[in-house]
Amino acid sequence: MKETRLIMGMPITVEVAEQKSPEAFCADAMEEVFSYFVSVDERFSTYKETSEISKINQSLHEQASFTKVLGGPRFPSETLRQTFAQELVRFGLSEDMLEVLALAEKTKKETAGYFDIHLPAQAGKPDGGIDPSGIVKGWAIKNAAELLKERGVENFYIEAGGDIQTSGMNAEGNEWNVGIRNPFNKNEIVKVIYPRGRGVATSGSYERGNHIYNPLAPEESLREVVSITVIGPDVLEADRFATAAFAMGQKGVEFIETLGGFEAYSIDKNGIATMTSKFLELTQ
Amino acid sequence: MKKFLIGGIIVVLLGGYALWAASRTSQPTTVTGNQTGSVSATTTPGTGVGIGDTSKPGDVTPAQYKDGAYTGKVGSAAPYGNVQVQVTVASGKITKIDLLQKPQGPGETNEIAARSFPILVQEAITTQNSHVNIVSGATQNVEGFNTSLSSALQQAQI
Repeated sequence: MKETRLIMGMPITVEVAEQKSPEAFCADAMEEVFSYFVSVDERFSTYKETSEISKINQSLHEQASFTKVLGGPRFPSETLRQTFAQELVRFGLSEDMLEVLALAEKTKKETAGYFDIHLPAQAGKPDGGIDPSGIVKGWAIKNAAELLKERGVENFYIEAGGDIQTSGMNAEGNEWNVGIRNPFNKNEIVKVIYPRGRGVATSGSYERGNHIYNPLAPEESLREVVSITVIGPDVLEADRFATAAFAMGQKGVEFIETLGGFEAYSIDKNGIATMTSKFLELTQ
Repeated sequence: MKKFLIGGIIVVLLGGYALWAASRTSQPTTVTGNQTGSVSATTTPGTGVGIGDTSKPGDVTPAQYKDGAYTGKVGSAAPYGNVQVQVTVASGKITKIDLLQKPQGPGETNEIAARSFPILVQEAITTQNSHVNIVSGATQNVEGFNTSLSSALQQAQI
């Protein structure tokens, strides 16, 4: 049983492949997963005025406006000022929000600052606010997978905007397989991997068409990365490191190589892929 | 770990307050003089671009547009920057949507210097024909685009 719905601004697909369970059991389980994603969206969407994250950002803007009219920054560092502003609104934050913010902070440290949810200040917005979208997706998929397991569902996958958690076997009783999309042609697959219960996440840039592909200059020194797929212990781990690795450009795949339990497949603008040393083991 | 975290929060909170209080007392006149300003600054919601705008392109009834070019406000495509569109209307119909601002991967601006790691295996990507259960690829959040498009269309309304 498989279904796709548009939630959190992206298509989310759930397939439950429990051959021996009644259909109603599978349908209920899938409904619970979709409802969960809706509730995450209500809390974390920066596009919903009433969401908890929007309220936090409003407070941050107010705090920043306040310090600005006080006559400029009085805090010794920008980080401390932001932390202070966050602490002021901390009271009343949900457990989920605290967990996600702590995860974001942890990821920032682990990736030498390449992962950062703080947005730059803009005109009329002295504090750019925070947007944890880069981590919420993986976090939500992981939690949704746990909801299914608690119900006794063992064979399933959940995919949201290209990030994937698989469990058990597919409807044919085989290992789930995942295709890595060709960044230059969304209808093509360039690699097939078997995650075997591990998480998969892809981070990439947008609006890259075939015009970027330059087969005449494959030796170009700056090999810009257009997409990086990371396989990690679970989808949350894969997602947060994929976001950071993409921000690192060509160095991203090398960063993943240094981590234990992670593999990556990075594709540059010339269509040349660079992979971690044990990546190919996932293709068998 | 939790105790440590709570301890850290308290320290930061107290430290931050102390600094703030110090700044207050050192220049009391400035504080008083500008507090009114801060109030008015905080009571203008909707100035944050892309945040809190729940409108969708569907909120606008089609075929009610004036001819011209309309620029939408900036929508967020975090963490890769912003998205902003310009809509061109001719004979009451949308004829063109241009991306004035498109999300940029930091990889575009960060030139990575010399490699210090062992050279990893590389290959030219090739299309695979095998059937797969699931596809992993970078997808764009549609909301930033929708926000900008929506505000451009609202301006175009008669």
